[in-house]
Amino acid sequence: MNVLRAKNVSEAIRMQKETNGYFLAGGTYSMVEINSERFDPDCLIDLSLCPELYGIREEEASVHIGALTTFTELEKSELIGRLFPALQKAAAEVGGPQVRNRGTVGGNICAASPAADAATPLLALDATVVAVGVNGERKIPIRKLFLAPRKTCLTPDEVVTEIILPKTGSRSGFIKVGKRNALAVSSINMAVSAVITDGKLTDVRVAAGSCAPTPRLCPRTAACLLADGLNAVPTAQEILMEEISPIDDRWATAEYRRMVAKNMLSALMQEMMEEKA
Amino acid sequence: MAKLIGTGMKRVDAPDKARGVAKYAGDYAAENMLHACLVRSEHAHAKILDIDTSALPEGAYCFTAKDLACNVIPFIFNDQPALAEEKVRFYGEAIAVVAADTLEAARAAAKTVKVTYELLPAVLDGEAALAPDAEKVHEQGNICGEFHRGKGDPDVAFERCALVLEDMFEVPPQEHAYLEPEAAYTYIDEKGRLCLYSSTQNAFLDKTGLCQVLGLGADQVVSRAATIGGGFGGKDGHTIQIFPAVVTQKTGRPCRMTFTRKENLQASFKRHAARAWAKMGFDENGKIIAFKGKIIFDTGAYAAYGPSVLSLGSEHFAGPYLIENTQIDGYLSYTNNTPASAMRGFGAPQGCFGSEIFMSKAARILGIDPLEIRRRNVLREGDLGAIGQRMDHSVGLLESINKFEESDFWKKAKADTSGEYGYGVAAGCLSSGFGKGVNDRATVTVEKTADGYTVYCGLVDIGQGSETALVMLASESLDVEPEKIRMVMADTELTDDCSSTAASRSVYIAGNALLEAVKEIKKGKDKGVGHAVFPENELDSFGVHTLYGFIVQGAKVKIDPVSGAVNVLEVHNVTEAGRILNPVSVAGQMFGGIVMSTGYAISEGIHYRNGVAMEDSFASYVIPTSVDAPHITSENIEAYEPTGPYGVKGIAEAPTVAIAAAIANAVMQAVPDAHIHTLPLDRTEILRHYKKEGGVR
Ligand SMILES: Cc1cc2nc3c(=O)[nH]c(=O)nc-3n(C[C@H](O)[C@H](O)[C@H](O)COP(=O)(O)OP(=O)(O)OC[C@H]3O[C@@H](n4cnc5c(N)ncnc54)[C@H](O)[C@@H]3O)c2cc1C
Repeated sequence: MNVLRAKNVSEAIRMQKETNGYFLAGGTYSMVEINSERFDPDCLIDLSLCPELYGIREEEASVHIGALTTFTELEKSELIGRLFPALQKAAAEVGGPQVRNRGTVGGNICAASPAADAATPLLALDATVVAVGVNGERKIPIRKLFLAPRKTCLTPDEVVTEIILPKTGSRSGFIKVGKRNALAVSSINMAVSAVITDGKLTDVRVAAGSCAPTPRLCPRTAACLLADGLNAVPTAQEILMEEISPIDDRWATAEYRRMVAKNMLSALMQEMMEEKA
Repeated sequence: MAKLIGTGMKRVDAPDKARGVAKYAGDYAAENMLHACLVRSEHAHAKILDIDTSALPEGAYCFTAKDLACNVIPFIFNDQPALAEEKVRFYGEAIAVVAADTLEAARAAAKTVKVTYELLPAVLDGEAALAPDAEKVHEQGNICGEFHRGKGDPDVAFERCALVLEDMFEVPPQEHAYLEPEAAYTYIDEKGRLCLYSSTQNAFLDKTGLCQVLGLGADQVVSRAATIGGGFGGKDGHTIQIFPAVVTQKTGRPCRMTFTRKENLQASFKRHAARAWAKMGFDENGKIIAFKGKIIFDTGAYAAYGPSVLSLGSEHFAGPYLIENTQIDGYLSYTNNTPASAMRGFGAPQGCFGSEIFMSKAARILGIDPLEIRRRNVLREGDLGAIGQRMDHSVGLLESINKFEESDFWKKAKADTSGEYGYGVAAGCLSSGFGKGVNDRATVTVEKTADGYTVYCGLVDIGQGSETALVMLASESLDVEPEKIRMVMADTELTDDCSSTAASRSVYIAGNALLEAVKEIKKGKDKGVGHAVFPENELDSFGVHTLYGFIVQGAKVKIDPVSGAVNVLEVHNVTEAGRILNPVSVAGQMFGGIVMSTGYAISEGIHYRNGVAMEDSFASYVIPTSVDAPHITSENIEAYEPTGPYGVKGIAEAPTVAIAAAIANAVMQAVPDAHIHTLPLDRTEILRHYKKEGGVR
């Protein structure tokens, strides 16, 4: 196996075309796949020398998160904590300290696990994914990114450069449930984001992970909450249980996932409504 | 000369392990060494029609059953081949050993070996296996063992009980999860002998196995334990030793093999899964009047230590209580699941899970304190245990309960009216020694050297600290500094066979032999050879024990209202182990056993799909991390076992016996309506009955 190191994004794209290789960010997903013989690439293209992929940048109406931003950086960022608490909380609950130090937000969404912990808050926060490839740049709403387990709409030559989050003034929250309190694959996770003006919800997004083939939004649940706020939670819970499509696997049963999803929704709504504006 | 007994003397093996210089089996290497791996069965149950090795690359070797002198692993039942020949009985069973110059080359070569199978229906449930029309795993049928024993007349006695509890309990297979996976290294020495270094709990049994399977004489094989990174019962018996040995025998070249974690999880020994039906009757004062239990252990494809697990598990099923009327029926079934064998607690945790849940349930229903109900039923010295065995050694359960009651943990538990936490207790005992009718003895030699003494002992320090304990005993009895004692352990050339490092017996039996050897030295000899024989119970029942260690444990839990997850916040433990040789070592055993069994209670377990373990890595086989393990406190009571070295008893396994039940009892205090009868504790059931369902806190 060859490992090439790209000095910038355009070199990475060119190397990919020449070798048909795979991009490598923190390696916390790819290396596990390689070591367990589920993935056998001829060539890896390390992105870690590409300066364009680093940093969290605030603009007038949005925040730009470089694809190589690690979970530790997200967790420690005052800006992320203030504007996007759901993302901060998700980052803080990924794996253990070692994985958070190496694992990147770009790698998390590109790996496209149904249980990806950053994907759920990014969906709830209405993120846009910026990808650059041979044919130039594309801006992809994250809700269109995931196609199937471990499959995104990116072409092999496309590098995710950054993730853009709109500053909407929303409150947000995230809950993850795994089989233990650290180093756990999410049996189910959920993020909710809501803009609350004078106690009224004006914009709501609910996203769930590990209860469908991809992390996904639950628009019907959100619409129900939008109409009637906290009072609508019991109805929204019923809708949510139909809107998700969990299965039985080694992480949890479908029945358990439904029960927990229901609890998560009410706990997150409660938490956001109680939070001081 | 400082007195060492009762001090927390530092581990003699710690510096080498901390500095990374301790040599584990997988660290051995030599020029010209071959790396080996296995061709394993891809099915749980199938006939082998053909093994095609024609595509094997040049430079690689492949050995199958045909290359063995005798394809039977010598063990209790002699039912397991070293390499599957006519049929495979579990997923991952070894079929062929492949070796090459590098591990990569060996693995690539193994993939070229094509096995053709004819699939057979697989038997995947220990209870279903016993049905008369079940598919047969072995020709003689699926009943691998039975145990029937009791006293009095429980059926009549139940009639006069104020309370009778009855339920079915189910517990999954558990993995030992030692840090060091199975590994072995073999080579031919300058005398032409086949030498083995392995990660093992019994170097002598390994030698017997090599001699038989490879057709070698006793003087042609030397077996030694390398440094061991944990055993817990899982490295006692046939695991990996034979495979590199075949390669070395056939090629003359050194060979090394280490299992991957996936191989370890999917194909190595497990704790037996079990299903148990228990019925327990009490009078209005909480006195147990009768106990009736039936338990089925799933031993998987081969017996291994299953027959002994069956008898020990049955013996301990009813708990450490005086019960006049008992009937215990145990069954051991063959299935096409991964073979189960020894694991710390050896069958006791499976049955005690149910009986200790009953003790707390009865206390709640009868309005008696959960410690008090246990106190009213304790076994005392001289009493007859559940299968009629006399308790003729130190029995410190009552004292342990009393000490537990005085603990800060329990006082705080009693005073806590917040309603936020659940508290539960459980008590247990675990036998030490192999039991009646099993040859349980040790021979230890002490030799005077120029600057101290060398102690030769056939047992292994698998990480539990027996080496340190024996150094302490030698140093104390010879009245020299511990630095003057050199230990040689588990070497078939230099030490005597002391059988398995198992059954919480090492310090007791080897300690006694050591003290006998020291007596010879004290008579002025340069070399003393000491023998010790484990005492046996007078009861005429094969495998019954006579010496037990006792524990009382309590757990504090918090239920997560969203997920139903059980967070075990605190565990308090009280131990009776005779005199405490090294309190730091004992605490280490207690802490380790408690964490191990907290995992058993809350998150561990193997699920088979068509006989294939779905948990194939430590991502899916979920053991507790530092943030899941409880805060543990542990105390010992002062006791003395007259037959033990300096009054010591074995205690390494006892902490695993009752803690899952203590945690379950705590959960039932928090969620009284939940039907708790399975492990790992069922979050779905807990959520269903959690008082604030809907989950906002
Ligand atoms: C012990 C352990 C615990 C874990 N715990 C969690 C957890 O709790 N939650 C969780 O969600 N995940 C967890 N993971 C999975 C993994 O750490 C995360 O998914 C992580 O975000 C992956 O990022 P990475 O940078 O390491 O990705 P890599 O392994 O480097 O890459 C992952 C995939 O994304 C592609 N890729 C990476 N960056 C780009 C880019 N900029 N453009 C295009 N393609 C790219 C790669 O080609 C590869 O296919 C865990 C992993 C381990 C080993």
